[in-house]
Amino acid sequence: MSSIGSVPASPSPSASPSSSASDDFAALVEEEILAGSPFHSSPDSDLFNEKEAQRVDEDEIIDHENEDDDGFEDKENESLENESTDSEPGASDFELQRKRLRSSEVVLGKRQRGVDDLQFNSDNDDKIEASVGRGGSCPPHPGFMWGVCIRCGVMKPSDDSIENGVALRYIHEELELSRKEAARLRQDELKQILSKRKLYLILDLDHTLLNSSRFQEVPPEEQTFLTAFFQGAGSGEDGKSTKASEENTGPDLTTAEQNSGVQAGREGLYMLPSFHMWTKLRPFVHRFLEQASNMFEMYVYTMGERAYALAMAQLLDPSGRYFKGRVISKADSTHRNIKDLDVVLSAESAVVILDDTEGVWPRHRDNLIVMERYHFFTSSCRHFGLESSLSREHKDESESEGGLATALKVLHSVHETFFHDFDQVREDCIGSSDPVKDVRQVIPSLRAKILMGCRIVFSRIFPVGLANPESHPLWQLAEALGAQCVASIDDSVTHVVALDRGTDKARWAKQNGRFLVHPSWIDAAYYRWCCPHEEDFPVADVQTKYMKLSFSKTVDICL
Amino acid sequence: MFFHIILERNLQLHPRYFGPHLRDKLVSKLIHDVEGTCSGRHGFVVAVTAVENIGKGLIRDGTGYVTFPVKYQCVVFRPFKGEILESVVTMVNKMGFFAEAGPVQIFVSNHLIPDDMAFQAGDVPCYETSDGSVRIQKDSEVRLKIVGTRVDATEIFCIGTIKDDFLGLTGDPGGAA
Repeated sequence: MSSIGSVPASPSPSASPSSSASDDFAALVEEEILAGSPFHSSPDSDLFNEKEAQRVDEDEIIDHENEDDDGFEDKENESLENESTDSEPGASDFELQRKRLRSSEVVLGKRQRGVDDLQFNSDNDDKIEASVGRGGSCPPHPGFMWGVCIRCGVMKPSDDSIENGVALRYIHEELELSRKEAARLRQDELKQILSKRKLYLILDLDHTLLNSSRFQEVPPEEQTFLTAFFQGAGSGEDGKSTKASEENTGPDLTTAEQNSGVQAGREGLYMLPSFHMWTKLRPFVHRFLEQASNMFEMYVYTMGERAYALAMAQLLDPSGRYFKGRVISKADSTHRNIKDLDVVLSAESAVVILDDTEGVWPRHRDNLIVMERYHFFTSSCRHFGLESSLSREHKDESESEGGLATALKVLHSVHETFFHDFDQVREDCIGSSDPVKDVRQVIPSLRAKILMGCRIVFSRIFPVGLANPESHPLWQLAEALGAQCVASIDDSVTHVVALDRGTDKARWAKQNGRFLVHPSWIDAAYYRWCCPHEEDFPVADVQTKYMKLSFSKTVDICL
Repeated sequence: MFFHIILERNLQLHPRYFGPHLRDKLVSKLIHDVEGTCSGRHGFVVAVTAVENIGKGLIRDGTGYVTFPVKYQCVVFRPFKGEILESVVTMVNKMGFFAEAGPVQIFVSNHLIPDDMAFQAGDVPCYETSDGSVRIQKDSEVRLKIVGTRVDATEIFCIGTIKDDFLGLTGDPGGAA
């Protein structure tokens, strides 16, 4: 039997690495020259063409500026010329060189034209790229999949380091996008999502939507309680029965969940043998997700491991309709111990973040709505230096007045305000394609309405001689909430914040019928997004230690 | 592209098979070992069609195993740049879609999807024309052209395009092409 065919010695230019470099380069050069000509011509209007061409030019200038920094280009041409005279080049080599020279001439010409307006900042850069749209040509490469450019199919150059791009491992293991491409996608997405009247919502997992605890960290008495609570109305002792009792408010288990050994108890308590962990979903979470999904496209962004994040997403969203494919975990982050929106393909102006820790979002504080931490398990409280936990007291957050219910209300008003303003802006300037409205203005402005009209004086919260009390965190917090802070008593003061009743200002407040409140009153306002009842935050006779309390309403768990 | 080529491989056989069925055992071991594997140079081995020649076995010192050099004919599948393939869509996301043509995975980015097709999120993410006449979703059958390949020692990945004449949707999910 003879063979039908055989693999050629050198299968194709792209397949053999030795020959690819020069050939690819020739292709690139050709494309580059093409890009300079009115390649993007569209029949719409000449004006448009001109603009488009100019944009392309500008882009190239930026790129060649970068190349120029290396100072390679000219030298390379020279050395190649020498080489070719030595080694008698073939016709194709010669052609290639001419192309190279031509391209460098083109570049030089452009550089001189554009030399006056070269002050680009990164924002400007993004906009240019975004406006070019899906067209354009390589290089610059928009991104790489398996190390191959997703537009022109060439191998990623070895000097193209990771800093130019952002790896999006949560979409695909091997996907990496350039910053410009990410910016372009963000702009595209923004238009789409705004037309659906939605915004983005980034959700944290631990302490925000749920609370987890390892088996070995659960003290014995809590273990008894959990087991009793878990089994509810008389399921089997060993927990083999995965039938959720009637009270289970969560959705039914899918077969996948059963296979992975996850066992559901009542009211969102889960046992995950594969992680050696208990997990308690925050009350109200399912309704929260359902309602929020009408207003937001949701992501999960957690500092946990990938497997854990996916398992939790499975608990929260068994059908995958809320955040399938949008679960970002620690390994996907570009920085350690910091969460950043650079891995999220959404315009920062339309992102609301819900998290319990402000510190992990250093670049996006204005997008952030800080949640009160949800501590169900004792071990989780201990991490934060708190004594008692909900499970020890056999309590849980209230469904209707818990942290998530509050957050949902805030999200409603953020969404409403954003689109109210958005529509107005659009009506005001019809024709402007890009109505600028920013969540980062909406959230602080809403926050500033919480304590509006309050004039606050602090008594013995910070030392008398403090140089600038304005920089004290509590002062700043109160101002951010819309209150006015003053240094000394006058008639307009409405609230005195003190730690004990003995101070002059405290006595003044009592005599003049002003509110005397504990500092945690301000924290409560911050977390509950409303002006809390002053009576709930009385000041004790003797000085008490300043500590954070739980501000969400709790309810007893009945076994 | 498919090729019918002759390859060679050294097979190690345990001494317990030394008997009347030695040759059969070697052939079945060969098929088990090579079918479905991929080498960057030759591509995916689809099927062994014949064994040309089995060389003299060489006893490995100390183990008793015997190494046979085996020459065999096989059909290999090796994707090339510029080649047109029929494939089945496996996953759609906003970056583009993934498709499979037999064992090879192909990614088509949204740069290489016609401009009149837009990504639609939802329960079944897809790329769709504005009038809804063409819709690419999971399990759709798509004809595409390979624009780039990455060839590793044991893996081949491709980047494809459907932005060209006669490329794109050829069959809906479940439909016979």
